Amino acid sequence: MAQFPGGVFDDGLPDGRAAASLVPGPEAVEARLDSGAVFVIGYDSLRMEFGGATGRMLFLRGAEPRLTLFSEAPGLLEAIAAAGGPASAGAVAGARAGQAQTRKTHLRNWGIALAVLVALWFTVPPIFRVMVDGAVQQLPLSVDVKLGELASSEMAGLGPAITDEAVAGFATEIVERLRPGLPPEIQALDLKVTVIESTQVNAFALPGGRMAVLSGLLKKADGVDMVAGVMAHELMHVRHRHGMRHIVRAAGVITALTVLAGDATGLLGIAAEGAALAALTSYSREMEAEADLDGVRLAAAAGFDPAGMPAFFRKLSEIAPDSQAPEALSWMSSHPRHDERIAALEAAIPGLVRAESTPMKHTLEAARAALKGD
Amino acid sequence: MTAQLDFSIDHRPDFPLLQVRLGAGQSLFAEPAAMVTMSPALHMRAGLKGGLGKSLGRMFGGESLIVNTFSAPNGAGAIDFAPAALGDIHHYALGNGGGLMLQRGAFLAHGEGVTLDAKWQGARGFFSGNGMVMLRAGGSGDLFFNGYGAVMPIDVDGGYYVDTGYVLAFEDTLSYRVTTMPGLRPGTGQKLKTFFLGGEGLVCQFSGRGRVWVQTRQIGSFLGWIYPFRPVKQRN
Ligand SMILES: [Zn+2]
Repeated sequence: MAQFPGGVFDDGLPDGRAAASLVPGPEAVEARLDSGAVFVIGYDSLRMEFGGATGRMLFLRGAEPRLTLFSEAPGLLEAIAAAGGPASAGAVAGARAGQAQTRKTHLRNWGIALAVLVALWFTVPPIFRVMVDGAVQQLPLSVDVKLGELASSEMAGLGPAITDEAVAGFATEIVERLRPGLPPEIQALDLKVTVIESTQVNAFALPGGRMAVLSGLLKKADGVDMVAGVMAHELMHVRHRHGMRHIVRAAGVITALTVLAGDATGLLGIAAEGAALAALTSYSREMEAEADLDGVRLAAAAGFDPAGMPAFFRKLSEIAPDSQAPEALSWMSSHPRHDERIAALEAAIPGLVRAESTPMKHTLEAARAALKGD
Repeated sequence: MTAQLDFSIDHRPDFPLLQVRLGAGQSLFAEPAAMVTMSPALHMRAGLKGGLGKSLGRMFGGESLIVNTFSAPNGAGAIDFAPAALGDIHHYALGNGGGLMLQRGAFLAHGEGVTLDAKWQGARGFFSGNGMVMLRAGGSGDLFFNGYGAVMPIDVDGGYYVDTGYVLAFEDTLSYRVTTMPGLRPGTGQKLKTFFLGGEGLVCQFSGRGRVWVQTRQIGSFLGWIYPFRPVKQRN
C-alpha cells in the first residue's frame, strides 16, 4: 500500500503533533507514527480540505474533533479515491469542490493584481521621472564635476590628446561660441574640450562639462556646422545633467527592486547593478531628443547653421549603416534611431532663429591639415 | 522531535550567541559572516549548497548565495554564531510532519537533513511589505533562526492576527492571508482613516493549527523612531 509522508495533530501527543506516514486503506486512512502508534479516520466520517501555507496541504478530519491528519505529498487525494472507491467518494468530492473554489479566488486575486500592475505601469514612470528630476536638482553641480573627474581616466585611455593649436583651438573656439547660450551656472563650469587622436567618429561630454572630440569626427565632418551641431548636442547632455539623472534613475531602479523583492542582496543586487550599467552606457530616448532639440537651438543662437546636426546624422548613417562597424564605440552606436531624430530635427529647424554668423578664427580645413595620416 | 545537535544559546535575548558543539563527522550550514569563534579542529568551507537552482532560490529569498559549511572531519569542536540584528535566536526541530515558513533574513544556521527553499508569496508577500518570497525549511533536523527583539511563540488553534512586520516564522500547517484589521472592514471612511493615520493597516490572518513566532520589535519602526535624531549637516 502506498504511504504518504505527513503528520498528525492530536492532543494526546507530546507537543500536540508528530510526523506520520499516511496510508489510505479500503475503509479508512491510517496515520502510522514512528513510535508505533496508529491513528485512524474512517471514510464514513472523513472530511478533507486543502490549506496550509502553500494551499496544497491536505487536511483530514473525522468524528473525533481534535484529531487531524495532514500531508502535502502529491497524489494522496487520488490514492484515497482509488483505495476507498465509493466509500471515500463523498470526502474526495468535497476536497475537490473546495479546491475549485480556492482556484477561483486565486484567479480573481491574480486578476486584481494584474489590474493594479497595469495601472502602476502607466502611472509610476511619469511620477518616477518627476522624482528623479527633483532629486537631481537637490544635488549641487559640484557632484557632476566630481563624477566627470572619476570618468575622465576612461577618456585618457582612448588615445593621445592633440595639443596642436590648429586642432585644439578649433574645438575650443566652437565651445566658446556656444557657451553664451548656456545658463550662467553651466557657463561657470570648466567646459574644457580635448581632441583625441583616434579613427573613431565620436564625441562625448562627461558630467560636469569636460568634453572630448575624437579626431575621426573632424576628418569625416563636411564643415564646421556639423562639428558644432554634435558639440552643441553633447553640451546639452551636460546642461540637462543627463549623466546624473541616469545614475539617480538607476539607483531608483535598485530601490524599486529592493521593495519588490524585499532585499537587493544576492542575485537581485547583481541584476540591479547590471541594469544600472546598461542604463549608464546610453541615455534614454527622451534625453537624446532633449539634447537634439536644445542643441540645435544652441548652435543656431551661436550663428552656426542648425542644419549641420541633421546633416551630420545623415552622413554618419551612410558611413556606418549598422553598428556592426569596427568602431562599435562610435557616436552612432550610442545614438541609435537616427532616422526618427533627423525627421524631428528637420521639423524643428524652420522655427529657429539663426544668429549672425562671423568667420571662425580657426577653420576645420586648417585643423584637418594639422591632423596626421590624412 | 528532539535536537540532533548539541547547542546552547547564551546572553539572551538582546545579544544572544549560539554555540554548536559538533561531534566528529557532523556538519552545520550557516549564513556567512555569522561565525564569531571556532575550534581549530573544525573545517569551514564557503560555497553553494544544494546546487545552483536551490542557491538562486535562496538568493531570491534574500539569503546570500554562499552558505558556509562547518564540518568536524577530524574530531569534535565548537562554533559560536551571532546574528546581524539585535535580537533573540530560536531553535526549531524539523521532522514533525510539516515544514517551517521563515521570513527572509531570519535564517541563521541549520544541521544536516534540513532543506531550505524559497517560496514565492505573490501578492500576499507584496502587500505584507516583507518581500514576495519566504524561505521554507523542510526535512528533519535542527534549524536556528533569529528575529529583531525577543522571539515569542504563539500557538494558533483556529485563527490569529499578527501585524505583518512582526511575523518571523510559522509552521506550514497554518494557512495565512494578508488582510486589513478585521474591525476596519465596514465603513470605508473609517477604514482609510485608520489605515493612514493609525498605522495599523495590514495583518497576517493565520488559520488552522500550528505555531507562529513573532519578533517583539520591527526594524522599520525603529528606523522611523530614530530618524528625527539623526545627525544632520547644517546648510549655510
Ligand atoms: Zn547624446
